[in-house]
Amino acid sequence: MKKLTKENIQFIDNYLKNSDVIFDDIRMEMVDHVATAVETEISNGDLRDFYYIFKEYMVENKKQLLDNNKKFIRKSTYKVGQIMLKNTFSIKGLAVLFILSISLYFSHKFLNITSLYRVLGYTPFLLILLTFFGIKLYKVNRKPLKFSAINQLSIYAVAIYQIYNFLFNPFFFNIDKELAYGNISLVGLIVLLFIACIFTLTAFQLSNYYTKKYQKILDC
Amino acid sequence: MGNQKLYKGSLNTIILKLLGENIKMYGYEITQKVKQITEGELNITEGALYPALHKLEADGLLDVEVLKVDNRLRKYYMLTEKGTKETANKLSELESYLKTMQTFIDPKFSLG
Repeated sequence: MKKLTKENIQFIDNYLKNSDVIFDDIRMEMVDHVATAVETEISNGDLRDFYYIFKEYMVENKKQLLDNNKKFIRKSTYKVGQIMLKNTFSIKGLAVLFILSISLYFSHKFLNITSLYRVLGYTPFLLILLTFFGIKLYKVNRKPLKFSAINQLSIYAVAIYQIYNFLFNPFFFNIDKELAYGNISLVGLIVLLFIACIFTLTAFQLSNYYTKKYQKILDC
Repeated sequence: MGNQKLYKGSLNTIILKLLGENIKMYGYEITQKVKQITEGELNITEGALYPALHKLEADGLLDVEVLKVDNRLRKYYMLTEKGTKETANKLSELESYLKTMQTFIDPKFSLG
């Protein structure tokens, strides 16, 4: 079977990138599919130039490919949520919740409450910030690739940040007033810290998954 | 071309069965294999195949391997241990479904 050149493959890749297939994990599979379809056409005796065969294929299949792209992105968002939920009820997740609850409960009893809230109130924000810097560093060290599930994490990060703002935010809230709610504030803080820990755990699991599966691209 | 809607519910079973027989396959290969086996009767589109493959992967029934082939990267799908067990279940479900349908289509045949 006649194989397409590197330039032909690059052309397909650029075409799909310009058609809003922005995530590398999705585009990589589409490029291979389109390239194999064009190669099969050439092998079946089509003597026209690559660009004509490619154009004809895209006229017939572009809508389907782009629909597939949207479906994949939706699935990635759902997948991230599913992993976070799975982590929440995993042994690791429940152990984190247990340790957080015990340590905060005793800290709340014996330490200066205002200082405790001042320090811990920033923790979810810092955890999310550190996760993003961690992922950024991971990308800079290799190639600036965009993976769908890692990108969709940002939706959850925004959601957690909004809950954080709503429940407890030492940047804007009057801590003394908040402390009047006593145990409710403490439970809110534990829940928030727990969600932030689950988010960080999920982010690192996804980074590991992509590093393991897409090592070939990262090393290119 | 037949009624593609009738085949839709069996797409996962078809994919699992093919992967059970071929160790590892990539998307385009699956579409061509199905076309070849059914002599063009069943044509799986990209819009149906890839979401199904990704769902099976998310459910832990398939594992993926990315390899560099002919100037590009190719994603191969293969059955996991859970996927192998599920293939047997799905095939037996499909067989039972076909038997039931047969009793509606040709009651005499089913009695015999």
